[in-house]
Amino acid sequence: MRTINHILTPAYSTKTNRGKHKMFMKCICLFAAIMFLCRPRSVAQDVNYAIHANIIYHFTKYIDWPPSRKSGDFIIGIVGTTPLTDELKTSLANKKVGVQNIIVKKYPASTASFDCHILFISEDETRSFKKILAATKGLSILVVSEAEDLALRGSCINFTIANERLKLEINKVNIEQRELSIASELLKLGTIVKN
Amino acid sequence: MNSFTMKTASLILLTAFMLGKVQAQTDTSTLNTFSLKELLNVKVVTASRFSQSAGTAPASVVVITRDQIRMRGYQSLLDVMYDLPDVKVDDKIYSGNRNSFTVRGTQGAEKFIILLDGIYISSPSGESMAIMENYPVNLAEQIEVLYGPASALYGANAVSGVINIISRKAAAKGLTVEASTTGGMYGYTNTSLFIAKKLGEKARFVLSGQYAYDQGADYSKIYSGDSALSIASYSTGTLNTVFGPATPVTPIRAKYEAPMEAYNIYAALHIDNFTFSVFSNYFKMPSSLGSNTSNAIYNKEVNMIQSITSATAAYKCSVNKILFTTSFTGSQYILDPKSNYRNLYTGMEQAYKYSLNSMVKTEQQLDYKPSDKLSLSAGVAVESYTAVPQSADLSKPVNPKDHVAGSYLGTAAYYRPDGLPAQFYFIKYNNIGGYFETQYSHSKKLHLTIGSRYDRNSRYGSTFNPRLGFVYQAAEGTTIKMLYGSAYFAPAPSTSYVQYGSFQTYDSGRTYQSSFLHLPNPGLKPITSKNIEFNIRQDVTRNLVLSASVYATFLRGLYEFSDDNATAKLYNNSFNGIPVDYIEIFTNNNRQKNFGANVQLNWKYTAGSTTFNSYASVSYVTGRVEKGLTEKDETEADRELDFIAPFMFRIGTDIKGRKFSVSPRLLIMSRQHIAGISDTSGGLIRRQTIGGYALLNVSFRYHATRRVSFYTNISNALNQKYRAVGFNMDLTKQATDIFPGQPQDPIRIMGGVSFTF
Repeated sequence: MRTINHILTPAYSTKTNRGKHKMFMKCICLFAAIMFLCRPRSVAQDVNYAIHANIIYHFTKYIDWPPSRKSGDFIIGIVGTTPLTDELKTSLANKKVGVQNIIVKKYPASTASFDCHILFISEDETRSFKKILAATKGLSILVVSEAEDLALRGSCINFTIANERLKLEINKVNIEQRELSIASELLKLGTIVKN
Repeated sequence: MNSFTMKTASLILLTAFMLGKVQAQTDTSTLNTFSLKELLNVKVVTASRFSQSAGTAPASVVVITRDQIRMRGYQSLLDVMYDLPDVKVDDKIYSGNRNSFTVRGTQGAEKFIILLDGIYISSPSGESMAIMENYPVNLAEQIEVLYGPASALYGANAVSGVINIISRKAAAKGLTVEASTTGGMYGYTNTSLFIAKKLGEKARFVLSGQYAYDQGADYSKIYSGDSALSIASYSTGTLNTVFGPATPVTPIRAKYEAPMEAYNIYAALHIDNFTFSVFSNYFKMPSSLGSNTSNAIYNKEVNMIQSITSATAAYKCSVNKILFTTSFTGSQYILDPKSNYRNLYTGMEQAYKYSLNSMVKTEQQLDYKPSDKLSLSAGVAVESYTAVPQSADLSKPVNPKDHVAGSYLGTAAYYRPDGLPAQFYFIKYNNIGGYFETQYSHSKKLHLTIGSRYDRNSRYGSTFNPRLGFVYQAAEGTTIKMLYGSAYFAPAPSTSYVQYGSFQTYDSGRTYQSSFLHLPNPGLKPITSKNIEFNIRQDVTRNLVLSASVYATFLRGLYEFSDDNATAKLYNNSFNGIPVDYIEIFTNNNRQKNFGANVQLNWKYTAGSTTFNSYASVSYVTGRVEKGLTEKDETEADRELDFIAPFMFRIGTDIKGRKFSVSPRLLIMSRQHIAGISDTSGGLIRRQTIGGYALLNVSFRYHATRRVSFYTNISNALNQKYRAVGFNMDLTKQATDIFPGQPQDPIRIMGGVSFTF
């Protein structure tokens, strides 16, 4: 017959608590040391904006600007601080839209008049969204955003993330009000949002 | 933790540091060759553990989005569980922890794990917990539900599935504040708060909390014709129990009181690659659930109180294509010493319980993606546990600030005025686990996954759990999955060391004896589970998806109440020198086979500015319990499963307009199997059944402004007097303390308002 009694200890003792505490402190110290040693390492970003950058480049193929906007540089404007700026510069280096060279340009939110073809408003600047819309009203600028419900509030195309993938919310009315035309291929790939 | 495990952990962490010297790079060079459609199918969230799409993941997965949580008015994880395909919820049935969840025929809330952003927030030592407002949904960006055994990825207790709550992140530089408050019939209140803020470029902070109180319906009035819920005897002070009349010394209030209370708090600070998070939850619920009013007291101080607190610090560093994740977690489970039962088995006096389990864990994971076709993940986890498993029935609450001690209920006598000292157990154990997983995409159509995990536990030995997945896109829109998974349920300390029963003295406390005791079996082994599944998904159009699954699950080592003398022979009819007529223990004796299938449909469509998301599912499950660890050991014919309803049908639609949303959801349950036996004449012992039901829940939400919305949730809108399955139900027993089907809530209407700042 096996006996059980040798396996079991009658109750908590302060001695075992001390042992547990010591072990806990060892683990804390070890972890803290690792944190300290690893601190200069670079960042793995939550969101990979290289995908946004490549998608924005595809917009230039599915959106048609008025003839008056088809000369000079093709300007992609950015409002706000976002990794997308660098990703656009990297991804679109040496690329063209027709004969137009692509320029990536940062704008303050307070800019009175925007002279770009595509304007990306980063999530950080959502609070300036109304002001930016007012400043671009009637201009042939494709306004692109990345915060909830902005396609309903005036954006042309809004990025959302679902199931870890980018989704496009497209407001066709807002696009057409800016004298831009959108190809049906792009409409099929997004969710149509109506005002 | 011994020196070997410390050295192992140190070595792994040091290796991570050494490898981490190389500068990080991001592999985005091939993106410019992708079409727009392909870009929209690339994962943008790159830092999550084992990140996969539901379509190609080697598992059956259901995802509930934040939008759906709002539209359907989910107030807690329990609400979500009601709507999950293949899940049967039996609520308010269990004196220990309220509810039971049977997932594809595998019963038990403790047999699936709950994660918050991949961090374990179930009981660290595997105790079964109630699921109610103690598990949050208000902070969820989405909830991912993975079906089937998954210990190859998640370690112990991922037997019937995994629920991962993905929290919302800070959205903008400005402060985001969301608050909601709900109130409704039978004294229900629920208040939640979510705060998120970005702190500069690299830091963000999230704080979330929720508190709910439910006075509960007075079942003695709702079910006024049911003598099992009559409280007439509470007025007289004498209860007509199945053991005869009982007049407890402690007064009984002549009211039916069954309030419930729960809260959860979550805080997280992300700085660059460093994350520190704290989660704490709590619930208090009646401990008389499951018993009728003649055999248990429904007064508000008769309750069980359990809580979990866990803190995690994690650090990620990316080196070339390798992502290193180092984490350190501390977690504690407490069964509050004021927790008590007051029922037939405690002589209608308060019998107090206590338990305190804690865990510290360090884990190092490496994710490596050498190419778009191949990804590898591997890791090592070292865990150290200390536990005071659930105590016997105590006459007074333990004072945990003092020496953990107490005496057995009802043993005070002339020569032992303080009663017989209770046996407490203090156990320490550790677990070392190593795992790897490889995914290979032969082409865009064919994805293969192989993985496994090995765990060595100082308490119950080693386990090995492989996982295989084959995902094939047979045609445009057609995906076929063939899956194999395995898992183990680690015996919780409070299961291995459970003890109950009573002592008697016939010489004024000089000596004691017992006619029956259930005592610990420290040698209890894990329950193992293996599952094979075939799944096909057809995207009929972009907005219409059909899927079907067929599965078979094989469980082994299920627990059974056994005679110690006939099985393990641990006690020889003696416990601490006290003679005992019959000693019962748990043994790993039974096997179970579950077979099932489901068909699911999801259809999205738009009419004007209104969108509709309709969904439906039909689930079928059957199976058998086999007594004996092998065919040769079987002592009787196989039994049908209990806690199942062979057919479950769910249908619902989320309707969303510009200013409003409506979400009706209907669950139709076929007849439910209970433990009682109806027919032993055939080759398969048949279970008794109780009626099925139709449960209609409806949620409305009106967006008054962009920042304010009002909502109404109606549960059991058809006001069905339906019943759920509880433990040990037997319709043939006349004298019983157990309901013939656990009564459930009537229609309840709740209303609330939410604000976003």
